[in-house]
Amino acid sequence: MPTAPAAEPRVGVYVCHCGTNISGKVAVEDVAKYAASIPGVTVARDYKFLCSDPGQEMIIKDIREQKLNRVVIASCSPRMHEPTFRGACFRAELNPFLMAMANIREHCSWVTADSAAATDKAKALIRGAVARAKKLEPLKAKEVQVNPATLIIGGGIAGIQAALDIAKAKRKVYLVERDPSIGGHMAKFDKTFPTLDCAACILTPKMVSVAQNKNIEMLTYSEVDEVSGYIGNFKAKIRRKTRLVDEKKCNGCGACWGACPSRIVPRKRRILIGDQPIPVRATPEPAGAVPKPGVGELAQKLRQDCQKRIDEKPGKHACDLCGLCIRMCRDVVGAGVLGMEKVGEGEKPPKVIAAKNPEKCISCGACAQVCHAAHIRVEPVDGAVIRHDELLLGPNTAIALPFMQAVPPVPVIDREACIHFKTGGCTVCRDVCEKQAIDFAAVDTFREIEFGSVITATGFKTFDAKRLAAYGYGKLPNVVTAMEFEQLNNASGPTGGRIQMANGETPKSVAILHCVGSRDRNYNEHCSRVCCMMALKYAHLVHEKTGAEVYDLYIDMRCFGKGYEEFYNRLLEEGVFFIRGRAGEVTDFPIYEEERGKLIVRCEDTLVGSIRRIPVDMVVLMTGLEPAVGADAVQHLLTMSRSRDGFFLEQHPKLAPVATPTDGVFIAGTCQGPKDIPDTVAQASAAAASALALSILGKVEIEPITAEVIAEKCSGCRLCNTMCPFTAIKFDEVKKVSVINDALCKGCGTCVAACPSSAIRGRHFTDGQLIDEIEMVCS
Amino acid sequence: MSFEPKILGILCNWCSYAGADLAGTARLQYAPNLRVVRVMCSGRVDPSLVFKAFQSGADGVLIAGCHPGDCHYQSGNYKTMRRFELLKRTVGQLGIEPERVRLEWVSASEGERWQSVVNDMTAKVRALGPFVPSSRALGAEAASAGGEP
Repeated sequence: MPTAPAAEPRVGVYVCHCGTNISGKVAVEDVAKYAASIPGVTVARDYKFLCSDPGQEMIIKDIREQKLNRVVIASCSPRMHEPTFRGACFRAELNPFLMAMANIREHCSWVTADSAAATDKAKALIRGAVARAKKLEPLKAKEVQVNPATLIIGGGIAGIQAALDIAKAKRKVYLVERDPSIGGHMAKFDKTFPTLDCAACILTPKMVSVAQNKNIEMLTYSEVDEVSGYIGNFKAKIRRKTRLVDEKKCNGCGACWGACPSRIVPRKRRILIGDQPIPVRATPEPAGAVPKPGVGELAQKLRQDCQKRIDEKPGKHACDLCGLCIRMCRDVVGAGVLGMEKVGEGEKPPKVIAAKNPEKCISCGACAQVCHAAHIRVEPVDGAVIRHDELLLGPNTAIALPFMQAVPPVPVIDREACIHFKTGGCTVCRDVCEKQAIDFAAVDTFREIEFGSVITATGFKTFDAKRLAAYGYGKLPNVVTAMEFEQLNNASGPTGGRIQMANGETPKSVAILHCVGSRDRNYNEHCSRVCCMMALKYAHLVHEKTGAEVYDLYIDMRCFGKGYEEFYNRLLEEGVFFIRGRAGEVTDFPIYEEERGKLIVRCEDTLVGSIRRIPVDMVVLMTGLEPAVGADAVQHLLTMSRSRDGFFLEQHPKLAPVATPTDGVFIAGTCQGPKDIPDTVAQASAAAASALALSILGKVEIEPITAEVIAEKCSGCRLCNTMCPFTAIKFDEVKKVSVINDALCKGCGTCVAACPSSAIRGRHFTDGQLIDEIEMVCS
Repeated sequence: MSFEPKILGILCNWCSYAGADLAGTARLQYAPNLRVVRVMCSGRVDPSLVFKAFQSGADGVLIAGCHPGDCHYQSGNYKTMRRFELLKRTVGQLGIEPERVRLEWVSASEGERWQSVVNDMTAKVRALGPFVPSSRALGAEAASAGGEP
């Protein structure tokens, strides 16, 4: 137990002007004079900037010459400059923990209107700090080893960049991604602004490098369930959600999704036999089928048979009762909905294909796949040709990749869409998989990993446009969100990059609405930063691809980055109609003849000073950025904080943008706030550098603020044992006292407050220190 | 001159102290009556610290920590929450109006909330008037609390 130096306290008090930040409100000379009169204070001075080199030198000189054994710094928040002044003490060979701070800037001069009141408050805070300083004890920072591995949560462009940077230095990276593939939002982008280079072209090589790098262990389709430990020595439990496909066996050949008889979209669909629809049931009756051997082979045979018939007689024609659909539904799907039905009398009555057990139909559409006559069809319930909210970048099957360049190229079975989980039958994918990688009974597995630092790169989600009802998203077809439009534009998307309306036609006019859910006090006050440029990108693409008129409704055009303003100027020249004004409403209710059948955007053109109604074919909502789903769970796992906009809070908004209040936990990319790809990549590299600095040094000093049990005082009541959230307190059965494990203790002091015998001391926040400080602050 | 109360604020390092710092950075003006003592976690707040404040001349005590679920030490604030209920009952028994003690959750991003909490607390304690330590029990309690090294 450290004992206080026997010598009488000799306190030096230093009052900072902080330019005029403090001295503008607090009479600093007066305060210093007052401080000099406090018992135990040897010297008290005020100074322009204590954190400057000469300021620190002054303190060091005093410590040496005046033989100071305690220092009080009255300046800014200890959260800002405590390390600076501890460093000064250390250089003067005074234990850094014998320094106390009085926060007379953030808690006093900046928040107090009245000068006299601020001066009084500063005096009280200094009085408290001096009392605390007198009771301080020398402590020694603990040095702990750092596990060289880093955990990165989130495999978007931020996580990928950070992983590659760290791996380059031959340090281990665990890259945990919730989705089946790494790549994040960027993998869904078609073009990137302002250069218009294709996102896939610049991202996929990086994704492949991640997969090939021996130092990176990709844990895709996984989530972090638990995190424990501290800087340098973290542990985590990773839940590896089951894809029902073995990642080790699968080679991504694609045989499974090529053979899968089930479809995902259109989500609301129905089966038509001739023109007779099978009624759609929300919960079809269970078919109770069992998997039959050889259905994979059978499904393929039925398809081949169908193809042969199509080759013989192409086009739509009358049903010839080939029966492929019945066999598909009964033997492969296992639902047994279809059958032959007599429609007349006699020895050989005429028959038709009919839904004999319509209550068992799951609308999978397998029957339609083998109908060579196109007599059986699948169609969306609303008749739309394109549903903008259901655009897939991967195969439209229940076992599928999220997009074709997925890394790893291992598919996932969507239990909601899979026939096997609906009827109990169909095992086509399992049967066709030569690697025998598919196991319908597979369950989630867990993995424990150890690492020294964490980079959180959990990204963003876009604002739910349904919340802003005035724009009609979800009700009016052809009102689409930014991400939907991105997918519509995507060359590898379902339309091959053609911009189409719900009826399949090309729009002749498109309105792009900025700031949907951003810069709006009703939803998010913050600016989402990327949408202006994204809107310009869309304006250009629409113009280029369709020649349609483009109306761009903005509040302010924020083109802040390299080459961004130039891109805006280019768009001005391309003839996009820029309207300064936020749209008030999107409606399909026409007043004038030319508005019939169109979407009408109502807005105020603030440059012209008039209210306008703009009839267009399509509306793109530039939905703003919000923290990702699950950000709160990650926040609690790593005990981080979030700023008012919900994004993770950095340690300092300007000078420590990738560090967090939790040592060893860094943030990168849009989880910290909206930003574009260049900024995300830059921040990811910065976070990687911070993590590498830790692992390369291999050790780190941690605060010695922990608790200890004074054995002679401990009654062995064990009250504290259950208090500790870190299970740092154990009961010594031999000595019958509680003992604190210093390595596990994080120094919160909850046990200190709970001990009925005052047998636990919280280092650096002892009862004596706090009581003296409180007494002087209140006096 | 009108009565100006003295209020002690005991703030956790991670959320509330940072929130108060943010109020400063944003130059949000509020009543100068509250003086802050920092602890690592609101779970460190021993009731005897509160009694000591009243014994030393405080007219009110504010304890502030992270919002439930946000504790930097996982669950310290839940312990504070439970202790606070007992504390309120105890101060009542000691002849201190329970309104003189208050527990608030202020996060690191809630500078404006900190401003309004301090202003509101100051106004309420001002309305209560000065705290006069009349109770015998308080003297005894606080004296025993001050005995630690």
